[in-house]
Amino acid sequence: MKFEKSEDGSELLVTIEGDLDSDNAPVLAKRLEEELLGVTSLIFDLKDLEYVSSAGLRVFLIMQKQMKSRGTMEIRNANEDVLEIFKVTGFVRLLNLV
Amino acid sequence: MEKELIIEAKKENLKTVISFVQDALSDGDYSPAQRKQVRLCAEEIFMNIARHAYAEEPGNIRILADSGSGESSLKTISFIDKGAPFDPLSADPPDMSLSLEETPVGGLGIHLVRSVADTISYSYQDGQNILTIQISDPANQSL
Repeated sequence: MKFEKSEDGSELLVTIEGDLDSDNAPVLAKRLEEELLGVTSLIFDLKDLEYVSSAGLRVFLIMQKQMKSRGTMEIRNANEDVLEIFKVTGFVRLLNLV
Repeated sequence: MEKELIIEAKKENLKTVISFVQDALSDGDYSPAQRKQVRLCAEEIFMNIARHAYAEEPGNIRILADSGSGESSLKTISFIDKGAPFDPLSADPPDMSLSLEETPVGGLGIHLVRSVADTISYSYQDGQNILTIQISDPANQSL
């Protein structure tokens, strides 16, 4: 996982690689909580994310709920497998996938 | 061929469980796509049992993994625990008409299992929850 913040702290780019599962999703959630102060644009780059379980979906959903009142959230470059998981759970409708 | 693992149902054991299942199912045809579906189902079911079945006190889970025989690439996995009776199939599927605010953050795991597995069955016998899933190679699912 990589966290990159713009100079003024308003944009946070989170790059997630490999797996997002029950083991590391809580780590991601905690780190996001720490970094989110002042962020109005949250971007997830999932280009190298190969596997996501419901534990990861929960983090995206919680973040989308939080960002709704304070700015925008984007999910970029999800691969076919990850997109399929977003589809069967109805997340394509709730998340801003670009 | 069927293999068995008995392990404490706690989240720290997730990696061990996934390794066991993948190893046990590796006999015969086993495509990367099927492997990924098995991993997802095993994670969701094991975590569900670790969280809910033994909420009061810790306990074990018995996992049986059958790699299939002959030309069949159908993989069968059973999860057996002595925790509180819980039928995951009784849960309603997620309501896709809800708004972002109304959408609950729980209940997604079992829905994923139902979406991915070819068959899923649950019974409660002799004080045990028995959940069995079958997963075929997604490339053959249209046959």
